[in-house]
Amino acid sequence: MAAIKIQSLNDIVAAYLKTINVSEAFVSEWVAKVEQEGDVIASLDRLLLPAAEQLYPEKKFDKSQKISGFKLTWLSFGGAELHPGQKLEAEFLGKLKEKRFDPAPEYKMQKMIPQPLEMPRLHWSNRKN
Amino acid sequence: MSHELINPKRIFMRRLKVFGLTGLSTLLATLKWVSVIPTDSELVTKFLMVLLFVLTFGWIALFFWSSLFGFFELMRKAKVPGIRWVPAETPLTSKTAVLMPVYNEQPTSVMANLLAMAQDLAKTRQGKAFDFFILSDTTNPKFWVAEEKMWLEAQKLLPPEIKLYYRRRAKNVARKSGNIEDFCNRWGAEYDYMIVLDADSLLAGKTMVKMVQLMQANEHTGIIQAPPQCINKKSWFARMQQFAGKVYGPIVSAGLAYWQVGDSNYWGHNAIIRVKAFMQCCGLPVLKGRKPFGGHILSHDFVEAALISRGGWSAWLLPELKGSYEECPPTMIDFAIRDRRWCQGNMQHMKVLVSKGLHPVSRIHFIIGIMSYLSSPLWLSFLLVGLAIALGREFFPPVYFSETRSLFPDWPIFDKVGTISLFIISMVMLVLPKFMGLIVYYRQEKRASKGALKSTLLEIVCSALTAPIMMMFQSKFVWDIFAGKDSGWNTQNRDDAATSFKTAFSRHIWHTILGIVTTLVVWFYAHELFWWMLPITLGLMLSIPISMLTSQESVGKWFLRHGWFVIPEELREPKLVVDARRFLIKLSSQTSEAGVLDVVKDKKLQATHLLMLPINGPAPEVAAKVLENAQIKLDSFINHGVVPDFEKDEEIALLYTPKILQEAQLALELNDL
Repeated sequence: MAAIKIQSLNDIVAAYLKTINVSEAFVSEWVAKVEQEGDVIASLDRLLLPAAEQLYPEKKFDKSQKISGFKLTWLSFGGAELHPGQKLEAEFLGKLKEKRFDPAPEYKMQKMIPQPLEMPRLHWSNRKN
Repeated sequence: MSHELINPKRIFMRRLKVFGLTGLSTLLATLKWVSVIPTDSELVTKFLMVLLFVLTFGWIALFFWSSLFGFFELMRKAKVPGIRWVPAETPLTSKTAVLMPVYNEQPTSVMANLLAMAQDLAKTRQGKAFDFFILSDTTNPKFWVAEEKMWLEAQKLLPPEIKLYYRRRAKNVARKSGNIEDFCNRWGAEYDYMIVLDADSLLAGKTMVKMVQLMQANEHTGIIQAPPQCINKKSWFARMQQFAGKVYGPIVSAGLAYWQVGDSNYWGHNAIIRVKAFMQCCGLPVLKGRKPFGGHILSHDFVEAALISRGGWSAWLLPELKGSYEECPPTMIDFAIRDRRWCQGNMQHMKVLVSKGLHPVSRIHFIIGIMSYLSSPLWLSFLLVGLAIALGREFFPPVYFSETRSLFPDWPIFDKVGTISLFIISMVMLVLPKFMGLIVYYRQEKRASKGALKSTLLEIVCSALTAPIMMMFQSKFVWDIFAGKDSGWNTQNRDDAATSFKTAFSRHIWHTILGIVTTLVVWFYAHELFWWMLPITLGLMLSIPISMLTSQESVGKWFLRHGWFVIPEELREPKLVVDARRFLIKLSSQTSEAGVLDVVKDKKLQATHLLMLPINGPAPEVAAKVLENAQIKLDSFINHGVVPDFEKDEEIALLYTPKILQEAQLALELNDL
């Protein structure tokens, strides 16, 4: 996208970390892990996926939802402030799990069948049909 | 199977009494009417006059007798028979979804109402048995984003035991009924019952628990409708409606419940439905033919009640259920706009009315709904035919001596006394139920009843003045519908904004002209009718000032200060209403209508939006050019701070493109580095 004027990987990672309130101090660690070719944002998101999978293990969520859900929970409960380290501990993830956001329950698909209503024709314009 | 607690003979007798008396009184009045029609009238005119009289008088008679029985039921404090009542402490062993379908409604007030209801429910300690859903059909992207924002804010304010879910449909197929059906298709199997709300609904926690308890105890019940009371509005028009609903509403509801028993109707909201029964019976077909009669069923509630009844389930209207509220339209024009939609829905029922297998009472529900609107053109025709006869006598005087020689003149006979007595009987049947309602009101609301008599008298005068205006509105609606004009789907105005002169003029100018012309014609050519026609012509002539004046909040408040149209809920607001207002104030500070820009700027909101996007279903197809334009505008905002003037479809296209949203947010952060 043309809006991204500064294309240095460090800057992009720093900006990404800002979107999840993580300190710039961790930029170099993240840069080391990120895939430098292809979609950088997707690559950065993938780094969050293991934690997101733990927070949202259910199949009903797709990967993008899991990552968004993780970010939302992380941001809402001050993850960066409470847990400034790089590796998420199980105990902290457990706490986050208690507070995670659930936008909808799992689907239990069961289709409603249209019921027959047998009617006469009424409107004059219908006679032309 | 539906009325195991009541003898079917008893139900039959109730219906026989109401409809027998309606038929008998209509018959007697018609016989009298036949005798008072001028003897020199043409046969066709006579037939037309009798037909219109039967239809209009029968309509009044049904309202009168139903209300009379409702009055007796309330006076003897009788509960609706046939339903098993349960103690208040009965535990809930089921799961209920509380559904709030919305369509471009103010997200803050919707959420404030939901939060107040959730909080009230939590106080009952049975909150765990309920999940709340916002089922959005919103098409305005700014409202869509605001709804997500409000959902996020609400998570902080919700009682922990109650969950609030959100989903938005990309395409609002079949409007509200399609919205509910979509819920049932996805999650219906998870829930025993669903409580359906409207955007302005408020249901007390205890009422919701009571509704579920009743459902649990009455296993053949498909629907329980809690009659909603209008509250919260301040304009004169709305306050009069609130007062009328409070004073006359109970006997109307009790009257309906008296003869409907377990075959009652569903009013579309403030009701609980057994999901299994609904899913089995209430899949709505698309009606054959073009709009407005064909297509998706608009007033789905009546049809769903009829289908659930056809499936062997019972439906109850329970006036005993209190704590059920809604808001009424603030102005006469808003009322008419809502009526246009309802009118089309009810006219569409003409097609459903004769469907196979429906319960006779369901057919009566349809007829009542149809007649609610069709009665207006019938009244209008009745008046016009009467006027035409009077004018005919002016221009074509009676022939006293025919060509055949006779000793006696052929006097046309016109029974003036008989006509006046029929008029008085009709007026009594219209007005008496209001006084019966007043008696019940005095008995039940001793503290709040001060000023009720004067308010009733003024309400009767105001109703008489506004009735011809509504008659003209509704007659036009019926005409438009038969001419094939569709009403579309507009959001109901719920704000207390007064009607401007411009709006009033454009809506009422033809009413005014008609009123003036009729008055002049009657004055010059049928003078004896002048005073009889005045209540009708006066309302029409003054329609513009009436519409403007009744829409004024300041006038409504003046009446409140001076003890007019006061309802108990205005003197002591229900806690639920106070809480809803408190939440509204709290949420209003968080609201924003920047749409996609909010999603770009607000990190949490973007995460919320992207979390919810897959639940909303597949993105609608958008032309590449639309997305391209939207991107250019967004870039211009990010790089140069130019506030974008997105078109609606551009904003929606962006909201369905996570990659662009993420990149835009990152770009904003990069700008700040």
